[in-house]
Amino acid sequence: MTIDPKQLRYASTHEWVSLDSSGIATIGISAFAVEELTDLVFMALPKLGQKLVAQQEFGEVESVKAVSPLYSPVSGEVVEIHSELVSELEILGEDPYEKGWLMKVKLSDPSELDKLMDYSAYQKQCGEAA
Amino acid sequence: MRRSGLAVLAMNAVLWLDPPASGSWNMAMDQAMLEYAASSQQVILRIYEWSRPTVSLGYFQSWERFSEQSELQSLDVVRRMTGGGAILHDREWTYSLAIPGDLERKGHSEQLYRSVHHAVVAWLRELGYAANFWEELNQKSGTTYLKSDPFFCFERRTQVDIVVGERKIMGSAQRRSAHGLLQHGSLLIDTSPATPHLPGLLSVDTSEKPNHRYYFANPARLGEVVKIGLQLGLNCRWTNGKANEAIIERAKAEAEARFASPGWTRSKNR
Amino acid sequence: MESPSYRTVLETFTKRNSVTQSSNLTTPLTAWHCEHGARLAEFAGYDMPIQYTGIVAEHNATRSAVGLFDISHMGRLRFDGSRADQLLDHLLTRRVTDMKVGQVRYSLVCNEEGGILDDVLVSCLESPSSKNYFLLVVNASNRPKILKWLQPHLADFPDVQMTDVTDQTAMIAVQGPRAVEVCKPLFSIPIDQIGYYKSRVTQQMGKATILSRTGYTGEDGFELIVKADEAPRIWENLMLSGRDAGIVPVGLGARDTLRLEASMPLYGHELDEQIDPFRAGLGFAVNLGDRQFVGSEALEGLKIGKATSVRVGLMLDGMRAARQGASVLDSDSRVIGIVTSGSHSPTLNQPIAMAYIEPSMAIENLAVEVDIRGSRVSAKICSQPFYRRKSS
Repeated sequence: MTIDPKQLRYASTHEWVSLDSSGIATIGISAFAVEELTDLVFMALPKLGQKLVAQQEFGEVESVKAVSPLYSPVSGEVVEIHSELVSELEILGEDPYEKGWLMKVKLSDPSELDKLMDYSAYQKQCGEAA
Repeated sequence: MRRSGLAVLAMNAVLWLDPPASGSWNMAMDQAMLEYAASSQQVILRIYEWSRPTVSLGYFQSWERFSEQSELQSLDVVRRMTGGGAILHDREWTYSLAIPGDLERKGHSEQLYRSVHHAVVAWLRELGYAANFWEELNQKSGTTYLKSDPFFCFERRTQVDIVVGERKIMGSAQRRSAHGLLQHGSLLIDTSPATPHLPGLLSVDTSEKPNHRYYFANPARLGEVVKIGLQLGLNCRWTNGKANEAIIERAKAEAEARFASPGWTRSKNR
Repeated sequence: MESPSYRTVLETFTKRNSVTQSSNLTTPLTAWHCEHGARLAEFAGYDMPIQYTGIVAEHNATRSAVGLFDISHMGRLRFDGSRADQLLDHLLTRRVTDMKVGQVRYSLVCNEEGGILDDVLVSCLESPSSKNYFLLVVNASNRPKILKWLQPHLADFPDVQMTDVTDQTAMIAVQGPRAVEVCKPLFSIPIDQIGYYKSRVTQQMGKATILSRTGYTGEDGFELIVKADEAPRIWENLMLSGRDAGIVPVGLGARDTLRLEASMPLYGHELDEQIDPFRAGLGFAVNLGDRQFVGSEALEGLKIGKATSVRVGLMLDGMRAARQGASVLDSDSRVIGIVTSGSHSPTLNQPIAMAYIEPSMAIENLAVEVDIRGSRVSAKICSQPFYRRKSS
């Protein structure tokens, strides 16, 4: 599986979504967010089978000092967790897309993807924040 | 470096100088304060001490790590909403800062640390202390800062921590949530008997400062300095205030449901 | 990032540093008093706050809410050793040997002739290491005299260790109807359960504190003894904790009007070495009979003898206060006594005084006159105290 940042959908809260042909979405956080958070030390991810609701918290991440919530960009059920990531958060700094994905979710409402930003819209948002 | 977008329109800001309270009450009040800051759209800065020597654990710190610290077992312990290492609040001043809404969801946290810490560094220098950001020392000495996680906040080092000499005497930690941002900070005034390896400000620099024990008896002084620091990043109109009945009720509920409960404090994997 | 100005923050600090140094003694809180606009004056060798905003305001705040007093000038003597109780029993007019841990007693120290050397509070306390000891709080002005007077008696009790802890500690009084409410959050023990004239060794913010339900104002409240280093912090915490209750710092000026309304004697005014406890109306503080102490023989005689004068209260007409030394005259202009303390009473809003007069004239409501710097002011003899707090 290759993940191209330009092909992803983004939430304003900096999570990305990639949808495969079987309706399973891979979710991660953007390179911009990883850079802004700097030096991640802890991450708490949901449990397998947990039901997520779009725009609700699904996990938390602690950088050197700030504890920040992670918001789900979509609704659905968690079907896979990238559990190695939690013990090796450096991976996120190296590659937050291909290697640094967080979890896979079976979507309950694929139409939610339409509400997310495309790459250029997200880049614009990051540019404004910067 | 990216500049923060924190400089927004002039906001109402309130300083709460609160009397010393228990750990669970302080944590619950900070949470209630954050919610109130969000609902009333104002910045709230709270300055307080702790009525008994109390250990506060960082949000993600494991209970096992605390259990290993035999010298702390007789003390009160709470878990903060903010990250970072454990703090023994004994001869120490705490501030908590609530910034409402989602000024930013992620990033730029460093800017707020810098604003506040910048003011504290300048203040301590005026008082004659060799205060610095850790990064200034770090660059000079050429050593890399430790990113590992010693148990105590004051054993850790991040770039914006404040050191006097090489001793850390102030650190801050943050929590972002749907309500906004909560920033905790701790200025270690004097050494606690339970942690003799962590010298406070009055012990780090023992050169002739005759009145400082008196001067550092009033935590309100930290409030004035933090206010000056915040003016660097946030344009605030300051008034003095305190929690109203509704906020106190909210804090009571938070204390009961969370901060006073062993289930919250002792949870292993946050 | 440009450097902000810290002048506003530092202003008070430098202002306080510039306070001219007098040669008088200071307490750990003198700097605070200066910074908060107190008018200082010498008292018993110490620079003490006489008033902050005003005597009447401070007085009224103590009566209606709560006042905070720096009384660190009071002498604090600690007695350790298994025979400490016997030594003190030998020196004090009050029995000490039956005191239990946590008890406080008002007592007098008399000379062999029964004259009053000092009035004191003696407490029986238990240290954190479970050892009993006694604490004697003496008047600031009498401390050197008492220390000297103690020496030969200490030599008789070589196993008793006396330590003058005045300089290494501070003493703070919290007085007023809201004192309990203000102190309560700062202590982990239920302080409202400490009875009147009871004392506890406890902790405030982790630091050892002796907390006594005593005072010198006629109000409910506490007196705290803390390490000198910790005093400023505890003081600030009390100010914060009492903010909503309306706490104010109170100087020695209002402390004097408060104790006068409560008819509490002050050494150098109502008490001195020429006055015995019975004349002073302090017979309750003398336990005679089955015990011998310095002055007990003389006091046995004085108790049954005919007193030459007794302490009474006076209410004066007009607004002028009678001061110490003013003569009290009967309707025939005969001098029948002398004023020992006098002041305007903020609570009664009229001048009051205490005086020693001939016992035959000590009749309630008797009309008398007081000579105030040459002019006669009518007054009447009244029952004491002038003010009694409502029991809660």
